[in-house]
Formats: sequence, C-alpha cells, structure tokens
Amino acid sequence: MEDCTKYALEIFKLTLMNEPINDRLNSELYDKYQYSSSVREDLDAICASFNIKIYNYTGSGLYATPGIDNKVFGYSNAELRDNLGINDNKDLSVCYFIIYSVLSLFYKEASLRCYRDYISVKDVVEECKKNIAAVKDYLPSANKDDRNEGSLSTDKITLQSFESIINAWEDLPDYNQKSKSCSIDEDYKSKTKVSYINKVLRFLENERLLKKDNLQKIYLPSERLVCVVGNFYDELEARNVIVELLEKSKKDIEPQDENN
Amino acid sequence: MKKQDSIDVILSELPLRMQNLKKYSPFFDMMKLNTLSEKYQDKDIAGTILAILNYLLVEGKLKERGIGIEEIEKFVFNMVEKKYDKKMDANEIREFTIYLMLKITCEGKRFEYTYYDTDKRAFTTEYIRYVEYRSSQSFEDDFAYYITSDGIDFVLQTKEFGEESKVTIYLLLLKKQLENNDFEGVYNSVIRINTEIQKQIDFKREIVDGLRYSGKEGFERYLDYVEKSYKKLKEEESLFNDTDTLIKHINDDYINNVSSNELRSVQNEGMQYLRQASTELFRTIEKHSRLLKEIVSLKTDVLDIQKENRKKVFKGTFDFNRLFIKCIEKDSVESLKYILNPLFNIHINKNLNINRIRDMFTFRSTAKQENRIIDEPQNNTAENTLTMSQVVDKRLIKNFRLYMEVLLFMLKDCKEVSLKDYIEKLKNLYGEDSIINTDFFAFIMELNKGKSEINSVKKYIYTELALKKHKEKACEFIFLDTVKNNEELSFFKQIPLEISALSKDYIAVTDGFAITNFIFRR
Repeated sequence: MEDCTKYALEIFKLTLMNEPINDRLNSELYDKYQYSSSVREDLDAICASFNIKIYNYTGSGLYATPGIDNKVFGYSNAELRDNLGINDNKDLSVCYFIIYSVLSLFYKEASLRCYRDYISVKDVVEECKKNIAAVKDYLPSANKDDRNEGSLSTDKITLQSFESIINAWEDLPDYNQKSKSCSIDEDYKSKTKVSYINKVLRFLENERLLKKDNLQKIYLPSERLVCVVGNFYDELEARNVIVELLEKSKKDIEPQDENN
Repeated sequence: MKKQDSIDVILSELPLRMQNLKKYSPFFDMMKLNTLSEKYQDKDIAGTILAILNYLLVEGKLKERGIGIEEIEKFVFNMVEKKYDKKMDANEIREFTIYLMLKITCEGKRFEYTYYDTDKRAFTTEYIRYVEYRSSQSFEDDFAYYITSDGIDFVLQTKEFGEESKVTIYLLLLKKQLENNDFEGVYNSVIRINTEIQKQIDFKREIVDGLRYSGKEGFERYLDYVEKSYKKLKEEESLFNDTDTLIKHINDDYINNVSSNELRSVQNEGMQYLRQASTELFRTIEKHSRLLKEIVSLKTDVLDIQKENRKKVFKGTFDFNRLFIKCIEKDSVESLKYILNPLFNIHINKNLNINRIRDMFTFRSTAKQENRIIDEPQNNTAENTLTMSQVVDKRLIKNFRLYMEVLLFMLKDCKEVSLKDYIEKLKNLYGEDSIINTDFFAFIMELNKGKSEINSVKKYIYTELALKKHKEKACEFIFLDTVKNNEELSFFKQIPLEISALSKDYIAVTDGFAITNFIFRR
C-alpha cells in the first residue's frame, strides 16, 4: 500500500471515529491533507464510496458529514430516538422541527457566517413559536379548531405529518410551572416545550454542532456546524439532491416498522 | 505593562470614563421615543432632536442669542419637508415642535444619569440638561431656548475628526508630546494608536465580509476603503518610523546624559513610561505593517471573491427558510430529515454482543468467562457469519457432546453414577460455570426425553438407535457418535445406558435451584 493511501485511510479511520483532525492534535495528518494532493485524492475516493464528505475549515481542522441519506453511516430513526431520549416518531418529528428552528436562528441561508453569535433556550422557544405560525400559514389543513384532538395515535404517526407537530407542540406548556428545583436549561424530564428543546440541544451538543456555555446558559455554534453548513449545503450537488428528494416526497407513506 | 498594573489603571480610570458618558445619556433616553411615542412613531425623533441641538448651537450660542419656539418651528418644518419628504400642516408642525421641545428640556426637569462610582463605592446620580428655556436677557417677557454647556459638549462629540485621520493626528500629537518630554502622555497616546490600529484591522475584516455577502453595496464600500486607506497607511508608516527614531534618540540621550543617580530620581519614572511606550509602539508598528500588507493583498483577493460571487449568481444560495416552507407545503417531515441529517456525526451502528446478553441472563461475570472451557464459537468472521439459531445449535451440540463424554467415561469406571456425582465431576473438571450453564439443564432434559410414569427408565441401546435417523442435537445422535468415536467406550455397543429418576431425592444444583436426582447405569 502506498504511503498516501495509508495516510488517507488513517484520516478516514479518525473521521469514522469522529475524532478531531487538526493542527493541534494530529498536525502530521492534517498537514498531509492540506499539502498532499495525492492523500486528498485517495481520501476523496474512499469517502465517495461511503457517501461521506470531508471539509477543511482553515485553522480549525477537518470535519465530516454523512451526507443526505447515508444508510451505512447515518442514523436510523430508532437510533436518533435513543440518542434524543424520546419514545416514538411523533416525538422525533417534533425534535426535527426543533433542530430546524435552532438552525434557523443561526442561518437564513447556507454560508460561513452565522447571523447570531449565540442562542438561549428561550430564543429557541420563541423561534419554534414563530415557525409553528409559519407551518399554520403554509399548511392549509393545520387549523387548530378543525383538528381532531388525540385522533392521531402515536404508533401510526410517521415522520410525514406537520400536523402531528402542531398537535404535539401546542398541547405542551412552555415551562414546568410547578418545578422550582430545576432551572429552565436543566429540565429534561417534564412534558414541556423546554424539556424537548433541552433534549435537542443536548443532542446537538453531543453531535459537536453546538457548544454550551454552562455559566451563561447559552449555546454557541461550533466550528463543525459552521464548516458543514458553509460547505456542504453550498454545493450545488447537495442542494439538487435535497430538492429532488423533496419533490419526490409523498404524503401517505406507510408507517415505519419498529426499527425505523 | 504587568497585568496587575493594567487592572489598577483600568479601575482608576473608571469613574472618569463613566462621567464622560454622562453627556450621551439624555440623547439615548430620547432616542427611545422613536419606539415609545404613539403619535410620532413614523417620525425620526432622535434625528430631529440632534438637528435642533445643532441649530441652537450654530444659530443661537455662536450668535449669542436665544431661539424662540417659532424659529424652531420653521426649522422643523423645513427639515421635515427637505429631509423626510413629508408634508405637515401648520398645526401638526406646531404640535410636533412643542412635543420635541418638551422632551429636549425634559419637561422642565433634568435628565438623570445614575452610575456606580467606584471611588465613593456608591451609586451616584448626576443631573444634566441639553437645553434650558428661560427669558431672554434683553426682553424679560420673551422666552427662548438656549443650549447648555453639556448640550454643546454632546453636539461637538458627535462630529469629531474623521476616523481615517485619527491615527495621523495621534501620531502628530505623540511627536509633540515627545518633544515636550511628556512621557506619560506619550505612553497613553501609543496605547490609543494601538487601539486605533486594532479597530482598523477589525474594520478591514468587515470590509471583506461585506464583499462576500453584501453584494454591490459591499463592493462600493470596499472601493472607498481601499482608495482612502492605502494612501493613509503609507503616510502613517513614515510617521511611525519618525516616531520610532525619535523615541530611540531620546532614550539614547537619557542614557548618555543622565547619571545613574539622577536616573533614580524623577526622570526615572519618565524613562519607564518611555520604555513602555517604545515596546508598545514596536507592537503597533508590527500590526500596522501587517495591515498594510493585507490591504495590498486585498486587491488580489477581491478578484477571487468577485469570481465566487459571480458563480453564486448562477448557483443561487441554499435558503433554509424556502426549503422549510416547501416541506410544509408537501407536509413532509421526512424531507426535513434529508435537510438536517447531513449535520450529524458519522454514526456507526454497533452490533449487539450476544455473549454478553447470554451472560446477563446466566449471571456470569466477565472474569469467569476468561477461564471457561465450555464456550460459544468466537470466530465470527465475515465468511463464517451465522444466524442466531445456527450459533445456538452449534454451541448446544458442542456442549452436549462434552457432557455426554464425561457421563459415559464415568460409567466406564463405575457401573452406576448418580446425578449428584456427575455434577461434582463436571464441577471438578470444568468449574461451576459448566453447571450454571443453561445448556446443562437442556442436556439433562433432552437425555430424559420420552420417559413417562409408565416407562420410568430411559434406555439408550446402541444397536437400536443406529438403525434410526436422529437430529444432530438429539442426545441419541450424540450418544451414538460419542461411542463410535471413542474406542474406550465401545462396550456401550453391547450394553445399554439406563437412566432412572429417584423421585423423592432432590439435589441442589445452584443456590435456590434443585432438581430430581437421577441414576445413570450401564
């Protein structure tokens, strides 16, 4: 095996392990990536076969993304539910909605520049409210007066219904009024909007997308978030695939099985 | 400067800096009216107030006269028409002017400015007013507005010398201070210049950001910046060199002309300031030349940025909001997943460790697993990947063979063996694990299979069994196979193996678990 391939494989290995590759921790590998075109070519070839993309965020290091619909290195719904600490796909839909809301606080469009330096749990609550209003505006069927409360049973709900998000979201109180012992950013257990948001923020922190400042109780975008948003979404190819998948998406897909 | 010294300076300057902010406070209070006022929300109240103050300075103070409400009304009328392209009738203008003047004069009171005075260690409130309304000196019945000294101070501060000339002015000032041997002043000026350079570096970054993201507006800002800044930085560069040389000369003069005794006196303090200023200036010059280089390279960078921007025009941008709306219109949360999943980490699905799950149910510790003999196959390579039931069957057969072998070899030496003896033997040979193992109970059950109350003895007759087909994991098959493959056990080809239960005799296999005792005979 040639040296460049060995280096490429070493970088790939660390990438799979979600280990940081940068000037401080593994400068030799990082230099090889930056200055050796053959290492980069080999790495690109390896990554392409696994639908993985690696980007260099100058000064900060290499960051990887599993891409849009990676069956091997992406999360299944069940794995996401486990990581988020939620029970069913209805909750998962709500969490996806919150993740989008967090992203929309930082970005309006894909670029290397965030609109905000940091966010708080309260900001996310407000952004979610704003986005729920948008869902109501654009989803003709989503009129709270018309909806049949509790008619959607948990096990039948798939990830396809925005109405399920409105149903779930609007039935939740913002905060746990009774609990005096825990502060807003520590509530992970109550059936409140804040608890869902905290679970999502904790997940995003574990995914190295946000950094939490425990003292000020705020969340800052990580270099990884900035790098992936600024590079991946800016690529024409990625955008086309997402738009294509969006066009193909149908309303009535069969409920997913246990593992999905 | 040492960190502690810096902190001391910062704290000692704090009351003065808080005092200096006083003059801005009323303006920012009035600025809130832009949003608080119900009637004049569409009017630029803050801008109009600033203009009135300037008018009171230029047309009033400088001409040593007070300004009456009618004159201010006319000024406001002109301003609204010219600057805001709006028409207001005479009544509206009068009302608006009266409202503004009420606010500027704080309805006859004083604006309050409260801050914490670190010297007094208490909150202090100071009172301030921009404009006073009083009778004019010439006609006692004629009231007019006069701008106060605080008002003048505020208006003058809003238009200092231009940003672009600040460094040059400070450098010239610095030169003068050096010539006058005001070394403390020199040091403070150098700190100020350093801060200005840092501000310019930040500003340059904003210009580059503007080029990338603010389209035509950003490009115009860049052109203006490059044109002004390059020439200015060049001028500053020579001024910096002059100042540096001057500081060096003064420093040398001091060293040559002043004796060491004198150096310990008052001048010593000045020398210390000069040294600190010299170090600070060295840093500032470095920053300055780096900035100059960056601006030179900016001329080439801008071409790349423009190229990127041109591409973007055709490529478009990834608009999260637009896609979100599309997801809603399609009522597809699944699509949100496609948009958001690329953000997540690389995820590797780890398989469940069947061994560990089995151990959980059999209360087996990991340490014991290391020494056990009876074990499942470990070679789970890709080629040998087996289904769960295949894995279980393979292990079961292996363990059944082992249990059968031990039993038959015991019967080789003794004609009769009880289950209790058999268990003891297994424990001696393979340890406690061999008994706790669920396969052992399965083996005992399987061995006794077909026994009934009528037929209470189970017999394994080799010749009869050899004629029939058996499943691989059946005890019959294992008995035949074990006898066939062990010459020492060939006597079982002639004599049967008999198993009978001792119905009232129970033996404890493990804590809290007992089974009926058996007798194995040949």
